[in-house]
Formats: sequence, C-alpha cells, structure tokens
Amino acid sequence: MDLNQEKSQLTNDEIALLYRFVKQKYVRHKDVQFELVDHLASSIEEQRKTTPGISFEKALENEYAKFPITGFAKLVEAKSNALIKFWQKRIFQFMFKFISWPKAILTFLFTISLFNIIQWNGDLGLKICLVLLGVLIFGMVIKMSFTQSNNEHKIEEYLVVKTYYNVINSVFIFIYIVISILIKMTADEILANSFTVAIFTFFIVVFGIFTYGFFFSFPIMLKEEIKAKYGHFMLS
Amino acid sequence: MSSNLLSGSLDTIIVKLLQDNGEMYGYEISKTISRLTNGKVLIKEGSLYPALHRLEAKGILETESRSIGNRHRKYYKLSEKGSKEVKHILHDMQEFIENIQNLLNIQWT
Repeated sequence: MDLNQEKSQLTNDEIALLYRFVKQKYVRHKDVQFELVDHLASSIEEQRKTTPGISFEKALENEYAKFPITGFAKLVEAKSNALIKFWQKRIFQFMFKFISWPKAILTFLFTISLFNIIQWNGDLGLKICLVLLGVLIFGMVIKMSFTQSNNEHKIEEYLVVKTYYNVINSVFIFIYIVISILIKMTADEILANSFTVAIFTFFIVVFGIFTYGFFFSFPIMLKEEIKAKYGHFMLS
Repeated sequence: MSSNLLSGSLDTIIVKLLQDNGEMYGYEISKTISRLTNGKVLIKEGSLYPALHRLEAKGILETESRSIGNRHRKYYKLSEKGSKEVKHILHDMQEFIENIQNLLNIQWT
C-alpha cells in the first residue's frame, strides 16, 4: 500500500461516522447499511486522492448530493421489493419441486389417496382432514410466534430476514382467507360432487407441502442465504 | 446523457461489465462506466443500486460480501443463469440499437 492510498483510507472512527450518517437517513437495516457505507467510503477515499486536503464532511456532502432528493429511501424500497420477489420465487420453486419429477409421483399418490379417503368416508373423512388441518395450523402458529419472538432483533436489523418473514406472513394470510371460506361451507357443500372434493383435496395437499417447507426447508433456506451472502458479518 | 435514454439500457450495461470483469462492487461499476465513456455517461446511484438489486432478485446476478479492511463490501457477479442469458440480453440490445439507427436514418421526403 503506497503512502497516498494509506492516507486516503478511512479510519475506523470515520467508518463509524458513516454508519451513523446512513442510520440518520433512515436506513435501519445492517444489510443495506454496509453497502451504502462502502459506497460512500470508496467515494470519499477517491476524493481525497484527487483533491488532497478535502475534509471528510465536504467529501461526504459531495457524494450524498449525487443521491436522489429522497436520499436513500428509493434504494431501501428497491432492495426490499427485490428481496420480497426473491423469497416469493424461492418458496414457489420449493413448492414446484413437488409437482416435478420425481416428487410428483409422491404428490400424485398422496392426492389420489386423500381424495378417495374423503369420497369413501364422506363426513368422517372430511372431519379427519379438518382436524389434521387444525393441528398443522396450530403447530405453525406456535412455531411462527416462537421463532419471530426469538429472532425479533434480527428481523428489525436485517432486511433479508424481515422480508423472509413478510413473505411467510403473507402466505399465512392467504391460508387464513381460504380456511375462512372452508369453515363457512357445510360438509354437504364440500361433498356435493367430485369437483368440490378435488378442490378441497388440492388445498390440503398444497397446504401440507407448505407446512413441510415451513417446518423443515424454509428455515434452512434462510440460513443458507444468510451464510452465502452476509454470513461473515451477520454471524459476528 | 439523458437519464431517460439510459434507464432502459442500464441492466444490459451492468451484465456486460460483469461479463468482462468477473466481479465488481457498486461504486466500481459506476466509476467504470464513467471512465469507459470519458465521463459522458454518469450512472446515478439512485438508479444503479435498484438495478443491481433487481437483477439479483431475478437470479441474473449473485452476490458475496467480504471484509475489506475496516468495512464490508458487496461484490456482484453473473450467476449461472445470468451467464447463460447474457448472450440474449446483448443480442436484444444490439437489435434494438440497429432498429433505432434505422428509424433515425429515415430520410423524410
């Protein structure tokens, strides 16, 4: 490292000032802050090389002026939208695997079996399914509230974690709406014909796959994402 | 150069730079564009990062953050999907430029 480069490099205190600056500009999440801090720091270092003697404050002011009038808000919004799309895609890809070869065979066999159980056992089959559904939902609500309260600080600190839970919560809301409709239907309405039974069976199967993902696969997905992209500083 | 002209081509510029340079960080991308165009094309930070995040969400880019001295830096590079798609993205842009050139070269009688 030459002398000029050493001189231009920001000190730990200056980096801390940059973190304070982006926080003051309403960038609350660490996984967004670090990229902005690096951007500002790189610019300040370059300005120090091209304009020796420029103050830290002036160089920061120069660089911040290049951002839109809304400051960093647009960036945070874009990052948040991108992460939401990312998680939606990951969850969809996970669900899609169950209708792709070879898992599709298992899904198909399970769907046919469930469909026949409901058709053959009528009211009783339906009740068994609803109890099963209730148990799964109860388990999910317990796990969700437990993990959310345990990870509260990470949800607030990291956008990648916050958006993950936002997407999971939006699926929950969808499930709640479907269940609200199902509860309002009578057993006779569901068992009226093969089509309504098929719709009911389809929902149970999709919900079952989502539940499996929720308990076993999605948390691993989140951990792997954090480890791959942000591991070294989120784990520190 | 007008930002309206740039907005539709920013994604293509980014993927091309990453194809040529392997991996880059945000500030480096912005500076490289300015350097290669002799300062005629200046990418605003408010456009660059949303574009990078959008391409990342689409799976075209993948990222890795590393410790650089006393701070962390996020590097972008083409993903496997991005490497496959870059040829089509560049071809589409080439075709678009040719069409625009044809349109603008029309001699009105």
